[in-house]
Amino acid sequence: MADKITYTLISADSHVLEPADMFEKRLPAHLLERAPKLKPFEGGSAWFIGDLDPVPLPPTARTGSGYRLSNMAGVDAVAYEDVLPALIDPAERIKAQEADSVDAEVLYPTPSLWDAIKLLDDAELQLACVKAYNDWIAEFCAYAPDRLIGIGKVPTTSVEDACAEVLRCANELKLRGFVLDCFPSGAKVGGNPADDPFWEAVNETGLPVSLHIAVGPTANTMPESGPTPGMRPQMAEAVLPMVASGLFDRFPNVRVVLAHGDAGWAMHWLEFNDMYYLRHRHLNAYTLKDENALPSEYIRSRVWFTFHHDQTAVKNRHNIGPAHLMWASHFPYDDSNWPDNRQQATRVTAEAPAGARDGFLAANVARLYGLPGYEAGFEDAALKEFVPLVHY
Amino acid sequence: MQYKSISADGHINEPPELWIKNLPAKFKDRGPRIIETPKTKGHAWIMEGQSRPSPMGFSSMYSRGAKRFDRGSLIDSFKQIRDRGVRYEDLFPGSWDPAERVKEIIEDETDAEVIYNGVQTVWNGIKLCPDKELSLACYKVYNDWMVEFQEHDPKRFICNATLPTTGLKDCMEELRRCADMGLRTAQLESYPSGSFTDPSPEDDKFWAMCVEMDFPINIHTQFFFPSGDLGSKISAEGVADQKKRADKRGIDIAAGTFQVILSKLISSGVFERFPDLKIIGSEVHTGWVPYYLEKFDESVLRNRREWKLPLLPSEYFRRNVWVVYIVDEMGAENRYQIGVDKIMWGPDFPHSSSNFPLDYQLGREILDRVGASNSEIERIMWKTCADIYKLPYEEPATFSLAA
Repeated sequence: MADKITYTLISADSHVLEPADMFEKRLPAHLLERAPKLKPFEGGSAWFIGDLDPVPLPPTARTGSGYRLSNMAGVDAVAYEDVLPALIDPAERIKAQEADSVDAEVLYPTPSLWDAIKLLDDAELQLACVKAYNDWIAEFCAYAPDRLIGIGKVPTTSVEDACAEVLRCANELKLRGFVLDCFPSGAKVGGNPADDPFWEAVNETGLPVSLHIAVGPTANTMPESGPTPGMRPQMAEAVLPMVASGLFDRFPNVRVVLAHGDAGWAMHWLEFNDMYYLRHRHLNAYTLKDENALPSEYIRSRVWFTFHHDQTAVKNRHNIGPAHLMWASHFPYDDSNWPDNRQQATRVTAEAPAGARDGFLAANVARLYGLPGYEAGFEDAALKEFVPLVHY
Repeated sequence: MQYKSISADGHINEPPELWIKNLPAKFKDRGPRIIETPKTKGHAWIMEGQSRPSPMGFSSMYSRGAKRFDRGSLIDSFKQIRDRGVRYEDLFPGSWDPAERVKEIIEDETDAEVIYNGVQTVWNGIKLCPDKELSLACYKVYNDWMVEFQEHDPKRFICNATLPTTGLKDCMEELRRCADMGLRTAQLESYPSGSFTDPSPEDDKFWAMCVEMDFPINIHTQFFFPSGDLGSKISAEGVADQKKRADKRGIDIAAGTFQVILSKLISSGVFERFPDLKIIGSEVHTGWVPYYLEKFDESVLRNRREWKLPLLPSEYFRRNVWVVYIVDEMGAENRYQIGVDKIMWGPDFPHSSSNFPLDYQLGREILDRVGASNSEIERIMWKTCADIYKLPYEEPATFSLAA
């Protein structure tokens, strides 16, 4: 690798694929029989997990993009042998980044696999699977830590497990953030006091926590294909209760990333969150610690959004917060443009002036995760740069 | 008449005796009536087949704020309502008396209004009534009353017929009957077939009729309340409760929200088959529209194989659909992404989201703040509304460049 890296384009949300032998190699011997197994299924490969329905590999794992898929005759099931090596092998991943002119990526696991594991009624196995993944992704990223930004999975088994694993990910595995599939206490809503030890652990690490599309014990965190036009993603509903519970007051280092959900919906959401808060306090079951603050001010200083095809967010950057928007390639899912993501990123951010655009394409994500050259993070003023709304 | 403001969204509250007085004799004791119990707090509607009374609730009334931005007094009065419930004598009398209504909207600087029903309250019972004949009779009684209300001042009131949810035939016959009586628009409470969840091919007969009659059709936020309002979502238990109640009745609330209905109408080709159909989403706000259209188009462009329609979703939207906001600065700021002539102002008077008596001032203020031109202000504040609902108007005197 070059001595010093200059970031011009970083994807804030890309994915790896769990290798077929990951669990087999890393789980304790007595769990191997119950471990998820990748087997041939309907012409491709699928994970067999307990007695759940088989989970096929994501259809674009072979192509790295859906825009190539649309030129093909049909979408077939994907066999593990046909998967892009860049999803499994870090050296290949760097080549794929170079082909795509992307300097670094924040790497997420495969949501469909973990949505299934989350449903298992087998806490011991679940926790072991999460640890196996975290060990694997840490090794994967160690190959090129400035380019492969690994984030750890938070176990869904208990608050204690979540705390321990968060600290292990940060301190031993040197991962750079966390992805949360469901609140560790099993609470349906964010901000439940039972989860406070978890947030305290996160607060101690200072690393960002991602929600990916949805959060909850049965929530589907997998990107859907086909026409699912721009609605507010489910994970957004978790945010207001977190604000209302005072979580952001109690834990000043907690920062939340809403991943894969874009942001073009956010300015309307922020405006109406505030409006309902102000007009209908009598219906609200909450007060804010800072009496003069609005829900949007908490959200706009503590929440980050990743976006891909979303010119609406770029155009409304001042209403959302320009330091809080981070471009993402979604490689290898069907809305990715690999290997042409640089052109896509350029096109979608074209309207923004150079400074704001550098932020969207690289600097914001580099600051959030403290990448080389950006360890100082954000200036406070930049975090709070947005046009305040006038409310009635 | 010359207009400076036409509200695309106003409401009545149904008179307490409406059905008792007007239902056919055989239904008299079975129709909607007002009750008051300690549990419901204040007045609530109930009718045959309904196990839970529907309280009048917050949304049915607005309390006069003493002065602008006097949020304290507004919130205090809301709190009183919360604790003692809403009773009919608390409501603005213009909720059922058209002469009083004219005075109220003049105070609010609103020249004319598109008038909708009281939304949840009595309609929960009517929509879910197991006896379809009784249900249909209730719709007819209401629509007869709407005709009377409008006749008081047709230049100021464009009253909605509320279309029955009892089946396609009833829906079409009632549309024709209401049009013959002089109503100029109608609100759908379900898909025309009566389904609360999905469009069906038989709906085409209804859409064809709307086009033939040049009748704009309104969908007021969603087919079923409780609404997805952001303020109440703070409690997941509350949402879960609502969902449980809906599930028990076999209703998918999410499927009846305007965005989902709109996606289904666009995707199922309704606007391709009926290019002249006009659908208005009332009180749906507008700040969500740019992203919705951007993503809908993008998802279609990426799945060309599966998209059989010649136009993009945004093109159908811009031809066939209009949206109404109360106060929505993000929508106003994004008006060019939505279409200036797709947006109508509608303050929701006298519901609790209204800012009476400042509705006009606030409507103007956000447009001024986002730098809207005079012609844009005119479009959003009244002209598009007058055009769609065919309210005759005199053009204001044109500006002259001569000194």
